[in-house]
Amino acid sequence: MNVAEAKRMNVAHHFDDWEQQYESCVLGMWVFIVTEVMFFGGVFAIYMVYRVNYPDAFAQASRQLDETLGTFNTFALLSSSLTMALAVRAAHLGRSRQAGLLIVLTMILGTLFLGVKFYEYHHKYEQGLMPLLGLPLNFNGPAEELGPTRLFYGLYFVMTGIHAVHMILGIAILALFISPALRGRYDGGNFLSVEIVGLYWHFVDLVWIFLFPLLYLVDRSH
Amino acid sequence: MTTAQPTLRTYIVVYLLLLLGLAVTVGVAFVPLGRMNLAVALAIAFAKATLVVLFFMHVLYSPRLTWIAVFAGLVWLAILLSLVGVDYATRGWIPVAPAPTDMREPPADTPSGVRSQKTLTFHLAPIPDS
Amino acid sequence: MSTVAEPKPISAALPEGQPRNYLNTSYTVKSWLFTVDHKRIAILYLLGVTLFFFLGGAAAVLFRLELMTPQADLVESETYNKLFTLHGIIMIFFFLVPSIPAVLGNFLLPLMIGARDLAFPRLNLLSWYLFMIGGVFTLYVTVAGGVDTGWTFYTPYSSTYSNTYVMATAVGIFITGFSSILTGLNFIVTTHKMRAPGLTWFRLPLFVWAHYATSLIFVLGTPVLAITLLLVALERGLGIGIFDPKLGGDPILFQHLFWFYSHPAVYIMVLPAMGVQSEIIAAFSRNRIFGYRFVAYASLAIAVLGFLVWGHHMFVSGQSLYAGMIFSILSLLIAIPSAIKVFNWTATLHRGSITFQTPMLYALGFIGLFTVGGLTGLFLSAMGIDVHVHDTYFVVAHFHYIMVGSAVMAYLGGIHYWWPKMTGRMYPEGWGRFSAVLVFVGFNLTFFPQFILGYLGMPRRYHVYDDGFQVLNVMSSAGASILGIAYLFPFTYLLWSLKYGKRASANPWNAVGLEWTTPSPPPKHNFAQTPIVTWEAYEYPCSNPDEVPSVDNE
Repeated sequence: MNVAEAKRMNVAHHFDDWEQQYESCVLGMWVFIVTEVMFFGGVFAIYMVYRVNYPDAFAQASRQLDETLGTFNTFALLSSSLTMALAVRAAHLGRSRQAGLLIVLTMILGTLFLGVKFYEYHHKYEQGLMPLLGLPLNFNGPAEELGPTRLFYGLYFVMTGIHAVHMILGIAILALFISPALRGRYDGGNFLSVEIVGLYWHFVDLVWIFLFPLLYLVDRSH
Repeated sequence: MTTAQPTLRTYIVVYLLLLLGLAVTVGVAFVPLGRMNLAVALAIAFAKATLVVLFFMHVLYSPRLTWIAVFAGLVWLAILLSLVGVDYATRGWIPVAPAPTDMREPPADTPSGVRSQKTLTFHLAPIPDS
Repeated sequence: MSTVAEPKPISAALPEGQPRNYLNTSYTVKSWLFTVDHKRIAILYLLGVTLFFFLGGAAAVLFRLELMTPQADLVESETYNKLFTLHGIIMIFFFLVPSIPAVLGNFLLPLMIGARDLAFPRLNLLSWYLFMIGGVFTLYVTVAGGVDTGWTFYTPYSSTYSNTYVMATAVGIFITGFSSILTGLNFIVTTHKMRAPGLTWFRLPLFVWAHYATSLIFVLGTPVLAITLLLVALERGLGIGIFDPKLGGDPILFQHLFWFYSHPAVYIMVLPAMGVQSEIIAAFSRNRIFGYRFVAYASLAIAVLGFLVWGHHMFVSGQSLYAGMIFSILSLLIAIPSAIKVFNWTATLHRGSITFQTPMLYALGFIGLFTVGGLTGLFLSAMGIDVHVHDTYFVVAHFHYIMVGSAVMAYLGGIHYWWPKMTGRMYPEGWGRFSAVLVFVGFNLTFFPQFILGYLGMPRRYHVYDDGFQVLNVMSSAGASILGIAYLFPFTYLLWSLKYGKRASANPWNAVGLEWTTPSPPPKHNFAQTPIVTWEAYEYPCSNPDEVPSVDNE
């Protein structure tokens, strides 16, 4: 199957040709990513306001997060971005099996990230630092910092939680690629869908690149 | 048509730079720099993000429309953050008269007119002191 | 961008007898519920928005009845709160936001650009399903007991204290929001990538420009509403205190995030209406739109500036005065592109060959009512006046002049204008004109007194009021009943026309536009061959009113 034929076979009926389909789908994914930027942007705005208003409470609460796990998670996610980029590269080069294996690797790293995340959540629950659903907050700082500390934890769980949901969805979608990839679907230049999902995965990584210092590293110098 | 691609070497170099950025971010966090801590952390995060966007997401090799979409996202996020920030940053710059504690009676210096002659027939609770 | 230089045949020649079109290719329910044809999806949306329009209207009937008397005699206060809340939520999220873009935009955008469909047809179907699922949540809330926070969901009432169905409502709007986002995404990509050969940006109909600008707002603003409502739902459901003042949270932060979307949302509601306006005014004065580029740029300007003005909803909420001044100036500026459009439509009429069919009646009404609504918006942008009339009926009248007097009228005008294209039938012109006039009269009787009421000090969202306000309230309620009945007329005769209306030709209005070069109703794939566009957008001959513009489809 040569490149031209493969491309011709995968053009949807309403597109004139493969170029139009490719450019439309890539643009469509970028527009979707812009919507996600604004979606996360809302919580970042809230975070910004509260951090500026309650610097001490946020600093103290941030110190109670485990920065080693956070660093490891960032490393895992950055690595998964590399494997994803290499998977897209493999698909471009028509190496379908290689793309499939790299996608599996990406999923493993993503799952590792999620595993660590849920361990962290569980640990916070055990420490009494999960003020959700009426659970108590284990707090022994100054009284005026109690409320803002709860705000910090609310933001922590919401921001990392929504991020985690995006990762779960990403991993689930990547799973759909394994079987076709290993069976040679992406030989011969049929790389569009891999590239699209790659863009999504990188975006999820981008969000974490900002979440990590803003949540874990507010003030580690004391 | 195949879009231009970063080479394998480019991907590896970018990855190593990202890891370097991670190391620096974590390292600098333990150094007391006061307000500069936030600035440095955000600067490194932006740098890492730029690398991911340009190379992993191929924007450097993408058509102009993609660049426009990326900039639009950044600009709109900036609009949200800055105009919300302007409110919080400038509260208290211009003094505002406090709200009267009992809204049923107009303030003493209100000129008499239609408003002050009609009293509303239902009770409004006074606004509590903040 | 496609590099094809010559037309491509798409479908075989149409069969003899009743031509195959998108409506009669298949009559099964499954073919409708699993369609990816943008035209069928538009009809599905038409059914949905019509249902919600009458539901939201029913809520209005009830509270306008209550407001005939100063006392609370029809409904008690909690019920009243639920009525205006549901009216707002249903009308805004389930009627006004989707109406023109999802019905007319979906139907016409591919036709107007010479494409076979939108860029992502299956995503389009998903949009409809998301819209309906969100609507089901709202129906559930209506039946289960309602929500009473006002459509604005201000915290901490919505996040902590209200004991009505806030979470279900928030989830429903969240889901429907994604319908909007995906539609906007679809329109943006379609407009960039799927225009016919020769159709440059500045040859596009202004309807397309308007929908492109609207889609920018869909994509950039709606996600912020999504996260805000999600946070309110999480605050209620998980006890996360984000906006809780007891924890140091700031309720005004909610308002910032809410209005960051909800102000551009009003431009989502009015920009498509302006797009319809341009088409109708040009067609029924047989003139090209005066200042085409200015109108196109003004659409983009409104979309962009619309994101910079949201604080004018918060002048008296506790926002800093300094920020208030910035928002005030920006709000005054945004009147300029809107005014440019009004001037240009008026100039289009000048020395035109004007006829007064139903769509034109709605369009002419739009010009006047939008001017009133827009000017009163300027009053509200000035902080000094806003302090006096904020949260009074002045604001209510202002936005209804835009939302109903402009957006709904344009929607009705557009439905009538493109009805022959969509259904292959003409509506009865006499009834159409009569209804348009009745709508205009009923509308003004309903809402003009509300300007006066607001200025005199009657607060909004109150079910009891001072005796002195009764006369104006009775006028307003009388107008509302006329308006409500007036809306039933098009509903009835448009349905009637489906069976008994005169069959329509491809171009009953002799209008210029690619959509008029296909049969009425269009075949499933829109065009027999991809058109090649060599003409400007509104090639109406100014000096020869009877000449049909040449839009060959060789």
